[in-house]
Amino acid sequence: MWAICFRECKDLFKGFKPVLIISILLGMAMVSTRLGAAFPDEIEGVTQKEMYTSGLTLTITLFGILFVFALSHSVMNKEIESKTIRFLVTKTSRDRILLGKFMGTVLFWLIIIGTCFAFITLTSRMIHLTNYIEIMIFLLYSISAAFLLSNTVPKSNQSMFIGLILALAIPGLSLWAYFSERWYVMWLKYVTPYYYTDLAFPLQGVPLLFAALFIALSLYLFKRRDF
Amino acid sequence: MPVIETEKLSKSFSRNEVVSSISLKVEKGEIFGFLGRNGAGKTTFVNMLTGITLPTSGRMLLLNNNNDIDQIKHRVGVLPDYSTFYDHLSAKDHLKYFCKVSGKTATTSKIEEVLRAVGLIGHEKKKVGKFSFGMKKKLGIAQALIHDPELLFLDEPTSGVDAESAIHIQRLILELQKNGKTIFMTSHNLDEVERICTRIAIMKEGHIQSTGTMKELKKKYQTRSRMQVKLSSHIRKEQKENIKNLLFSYSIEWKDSMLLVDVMAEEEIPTIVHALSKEGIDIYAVHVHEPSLQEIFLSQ
Ligand SMILES: Nc1ncnc2c1ncn2[C@@H]1O[C@H](COP(=O)(O)OP(=O)(O)OP(=O)(O)O)[C@@H](O)[C@H]1O
Ligand SMILES: [Mg+2]
Repeated sequence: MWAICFRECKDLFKGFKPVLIISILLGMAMVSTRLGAAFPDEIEGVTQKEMYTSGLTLTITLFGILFVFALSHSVMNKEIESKTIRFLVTKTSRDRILLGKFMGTVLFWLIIIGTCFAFITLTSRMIHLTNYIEIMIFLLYSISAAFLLSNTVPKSNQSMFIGLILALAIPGLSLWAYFSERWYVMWLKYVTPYYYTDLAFPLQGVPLLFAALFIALSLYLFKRRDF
Repeated sequence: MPVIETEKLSKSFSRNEVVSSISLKVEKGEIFGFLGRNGAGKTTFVNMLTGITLPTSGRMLLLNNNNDIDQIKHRVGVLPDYSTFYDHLSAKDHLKYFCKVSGKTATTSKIEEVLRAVGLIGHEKKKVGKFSFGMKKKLGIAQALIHDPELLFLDEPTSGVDAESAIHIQRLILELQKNGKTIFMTSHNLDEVERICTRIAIMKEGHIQSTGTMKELKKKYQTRSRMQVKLSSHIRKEQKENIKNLLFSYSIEWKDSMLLVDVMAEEEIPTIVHALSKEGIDIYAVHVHEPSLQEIFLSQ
């Protein structure tokens, strides 16, 4: 399982993508920090401390699912398509393959977001632990959703297309649902993570329940397949 | 104790049954050859045993582990019928990774040993994306061996490799058997199967048609052998006539200086030799042609 985890994480670090993501996130954090410094009193409901991270948080909120889906929409179906999965499935259990890959992806994001927060901590001289946890909860939801997508859609080019649409639609629809009173839209906010981020401690963790559900469903599908 | 045991193992793809209720036993130390025409269901059967496909019904038992094949996967090596590799990784990285996946660590010397065994030494650092078809097949065998398994499933191990490499792989399989491993292989190369396999099963349309050692199969399918007798070149017409009368119960045929006789059993050979020497005909050579696996196979 650990071999698969580290391989997945290492593969995600290949190329320019992690550098790009870190640059975008840190760039946005810098923008919000500058804004906070320029208008110390004028931003309502946001503390000065939060200004250091709010650019990053906002970027993740709007584009986090997109980033995660772009990197991981084919995490399972690509190996199934290329049949490399056969080498894994003949050597270890299917649970371990899926969970290994999941943990590898989580590890990647822990490191990426951790790196960003390390920079922010250095510049702000403050620890932003709650914010880090909030973002990781959001990303865990997104990663699990990517796994479910990759286990449901058999072809990687299809999962890229569907993933792209979902990644743009989910934040948009959730925002609509957040402010809407109509019953057929309202329920949407309860199944996406945005609504829960504003809530108090235990309810903040609700997206993790969804993440667990997505992974359980992925496992169920993955264990019933022929390769 | 059998190393592989299946009981009424079946597989259907959307109502189409491609493996029908196969019950089979393979003992430790065997090289079991699995034959059959394209689409007979060989790969589907192997894939069920290796966890690639899930059986529709039936039972299987590998290495005496009844309940869960996940628990014995690290003791089994598999060359699937088709697969690709990670193009950006080298042969060495593949072997390291796959060995770790099966829960063991491959030392550099073990990797070299395995690469040498399959004939890939010198290519360990090359990206597998640049490998030829045959080289990938060899790497496929290498990854099946890297974690030192007791039981090997090889689906067409020599198809697509050059003649020399094929012989090399056959020797490797024999060597593995000598080291106490059990090998279950499929092949379309009947010569190869006849030469190296201890036991053979022939599959047809999802069923096993026959199983046995080469000897048993020959006995089962041998209706007659053809005896070829090379004679001196000057045989007179009346000699031929006399031979025909003496061997009236046999189907005989003259071909230049060659006499061809169909015999049912070895015991009939002296009768024919006697008849010829009685006529004063010199015998230069006698050859009894037994049916090959190919003939048995084609008669199925
Ligand atoms: N995933 C699948 N879905 C549907 N049918 C399948 C699938 N895999 C195999 N089959 C069918 O099952 C039958 C047996 O196929 P299999 O690959 O087991 O044959 P084989 O004996 O290995 O043939 P070959 O000698 O060509 O390798 C074929 O008719 C094939 O079309
Ligand atoms: Mg096959």
